[in-house]
Amino acid sequence: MEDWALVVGITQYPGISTLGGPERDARDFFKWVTSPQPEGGGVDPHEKTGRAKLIITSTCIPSPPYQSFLEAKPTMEGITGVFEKMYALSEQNNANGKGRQIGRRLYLYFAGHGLEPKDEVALLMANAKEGIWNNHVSGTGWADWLYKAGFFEEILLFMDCCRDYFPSVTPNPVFPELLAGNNIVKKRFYAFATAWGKKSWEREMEDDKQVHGVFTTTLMKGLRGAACDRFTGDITATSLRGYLKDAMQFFFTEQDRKNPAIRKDPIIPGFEDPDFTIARVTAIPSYQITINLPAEFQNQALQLIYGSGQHMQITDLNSQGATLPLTLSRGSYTLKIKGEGGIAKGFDVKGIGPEDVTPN
Amino acid sequence: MSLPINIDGVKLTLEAEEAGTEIFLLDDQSRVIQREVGRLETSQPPGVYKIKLRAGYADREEIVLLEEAPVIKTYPALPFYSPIPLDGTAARIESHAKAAERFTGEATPVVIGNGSGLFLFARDFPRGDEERTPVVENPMHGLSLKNVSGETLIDLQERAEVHHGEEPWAACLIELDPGSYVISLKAPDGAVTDQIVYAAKDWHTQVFVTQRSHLKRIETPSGEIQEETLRLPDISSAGVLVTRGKYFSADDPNARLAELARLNLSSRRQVLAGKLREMLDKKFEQPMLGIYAAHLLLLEKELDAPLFAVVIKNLRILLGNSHPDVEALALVTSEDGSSHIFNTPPMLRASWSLVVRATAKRRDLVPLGSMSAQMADCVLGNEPWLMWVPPGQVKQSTAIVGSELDQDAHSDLFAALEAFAIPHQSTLITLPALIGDVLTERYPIYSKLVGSAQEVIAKVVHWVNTEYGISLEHSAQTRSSSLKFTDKQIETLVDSLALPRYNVEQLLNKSAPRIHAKLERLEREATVKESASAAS
Repeated sequence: MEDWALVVGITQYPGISTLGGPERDARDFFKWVTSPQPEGGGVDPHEKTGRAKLIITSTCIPSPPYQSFLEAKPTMEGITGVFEKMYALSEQNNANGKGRQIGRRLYLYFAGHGLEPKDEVALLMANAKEGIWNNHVSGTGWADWLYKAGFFEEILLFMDCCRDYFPSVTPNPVFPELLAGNNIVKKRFYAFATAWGKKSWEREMEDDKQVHGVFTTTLMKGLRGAACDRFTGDITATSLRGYLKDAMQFFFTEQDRKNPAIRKDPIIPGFEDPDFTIARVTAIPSYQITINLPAEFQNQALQLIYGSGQHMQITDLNSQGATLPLTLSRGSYTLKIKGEGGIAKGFDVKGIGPEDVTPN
Repeated sequence: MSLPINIDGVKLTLEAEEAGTEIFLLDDQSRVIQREVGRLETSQPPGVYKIKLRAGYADREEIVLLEEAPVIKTYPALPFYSPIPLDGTAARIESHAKAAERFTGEATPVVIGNGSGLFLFARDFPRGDEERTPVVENPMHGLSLKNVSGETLIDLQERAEVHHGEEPWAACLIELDPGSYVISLKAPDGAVTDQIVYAAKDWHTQVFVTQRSHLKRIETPSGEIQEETLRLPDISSAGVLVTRGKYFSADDPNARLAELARLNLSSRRQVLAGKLREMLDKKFEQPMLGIYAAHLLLLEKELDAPLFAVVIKNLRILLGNSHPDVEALALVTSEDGSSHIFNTPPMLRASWSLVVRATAKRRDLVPLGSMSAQMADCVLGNEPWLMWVPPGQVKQSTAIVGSELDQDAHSDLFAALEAFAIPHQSTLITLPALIGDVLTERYPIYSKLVGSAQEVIAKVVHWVNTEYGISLEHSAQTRSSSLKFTDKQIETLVDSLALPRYNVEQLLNKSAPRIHAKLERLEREATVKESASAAS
């Protein structure tokens, strides 16, 4: 069974406002998801297979600029058309006695303006307008439907959009409920840029001086290796969740990070299998870390400790001077003055690049 | 080098001084091991762990090394964000805290009644982006206090004492009759947003607001869209306290807990545990804490009915039997749980949802023509406060960016119902039968039936047409003077449309004659066609 991907990034909303990041972010996700495994998602990018679909503003017909929200693309039909094709293929498989499953894994990535109609998370289509909120596609609605229908064994849903709460907007319907695929072990992983009723954020990133979603920036770093387990190289549901929850705050501006009114970590609902392997990296990323040593740690015999239980690692070090340069993978560490009762202080390697850290 | 494993584990005890604080224990790669509220006790293998605490949107992290000795840690309260200048909160401004304390103690109140008190305190402070949006001149701008008939009682912008400067504030102390009032915000473009505040007898209600920036898009004569940033009182995130005396105290720990509960209700985080739960079971002195906590209990997977009953009982002891939010909560366990009639709505949106749901069985709870019934069609989507745009006024308010409302529910419903009169496969759809089938869970789309009337019915039509192609005969039932629905169907409509039962029935009945007329016209046309066909 093959893997599939539907990647959507909408920047032009004539009836709401223009966004800077979604198209660029969608391209980046698509690039990753169609790169060969193990470093990428391994979805076949060739158009004839129809398994990798990228829907972004600039390649829509008509393309921007738009005179009115009425002509803006993509609209719901563009997205639901992909699901209809999946449905048709599933019907065909079923008719041929192969069951309803059409693939191993489906990646769904949606970036743009969004909202929360009732309790679902939806991406607003380009022809949405303030007051015309029904032009949306429910990401959670479709992901749940596909999961229940057993079209895939694994569903991954990433949504980089706001979740303004609109209790009186009906989530657009998906297909009539289809319960199938009970003979396969199904797994899913959903991640949302922000919490219920909250905004997602985009900004110009230092790396490339381009606007990106804060969530997608973190996600792509994570999928490209920063979120891997430092002992196995596996990016699992739990390791990706841990990375996203932990690291996203560091992709906000300094000012926003200090703003207690802004939610700075994504929402990742519970998942069935904590060891669900999403990707794998062959080279576990490590980062140049400069540790600013507290006075009592300078010129001392030290121990660097990380992991726990069977995985606990202790490395002896000798510090000379006020700083200690090390190359470390992402995670939490303790620096301890060697000997019984020695002072211990902790620090984090965030997995976002070279860092200066001060244990405390 | 690896150390031998201590298979017995090391005991770790973590305690937050503030009861509503969430505590997470994570491994050294930030994977969650355990989550508790208030206190976390565990035994873990030696190693490096991360501890994370969260209150509101404030958090704190610490890395801990577990060796052999048990570890016990206690954490002080976190500085979460609150519009109330409480000690230890992120937006506490010394001058604001002092001003609120002094004002409630010394100011001469504006007297418009007696038996209850209301204190309004609006403030602003530098946020680091003053070049774009400087602090406001008068933090009370655009605010007024109205009675439930919509008449202005006090223009707060004019009557409040205003302190200008880098940390401006405005305050107004009012003596008034117990009951419901409306805090109304008028934006510079004239858009109005209303919110209820209930003044309980012998209690003082204190309302605190900060300012919030709103992006306003303006179209120039040349068609160019320009954006302008406005700062307006943020009534949607107001902090509300209810106190015995008129004094505000910035160091009130119960007020902190109430604010934390409000933030958790706003973000639907279920955090009632430990000491906070114990406190609810015994006694609480801040009624808003009890009201928020009761709603948080309703978010739990399984309702702790005995504790819920105790909270309601305690709230009634404190506030009496006429507080709309308490009485709304009392409807949860039984629609007969309260004899209160909701002529005016409760303060919290979650409370209003409980009332609306209960009207399915007790339509008298929200009488037709009451303020509640009028407001019901114009409710905004905000949480936790119930807010609305006055009926007949502007459809979108700049004061509530991102909010949505269905203003003309009747025309929406009519347009949607009318769609059923379209001939379908040479016959006419029988409206009540079709809606009835759909609403009584015969079809799976039932679970999706939420939203405005138009959306709900349009989706039913679309779904039935595309998925089932149902052809139903036009029966005599459609010719009756009103559209007949079973109680079950009405309950579903009440739930789906988020409208009280009387409102739903009124909409259906108003629409019936027009729909019948259309159905009859279509039938006549069909008969003419048949005759023409037979003749040829």
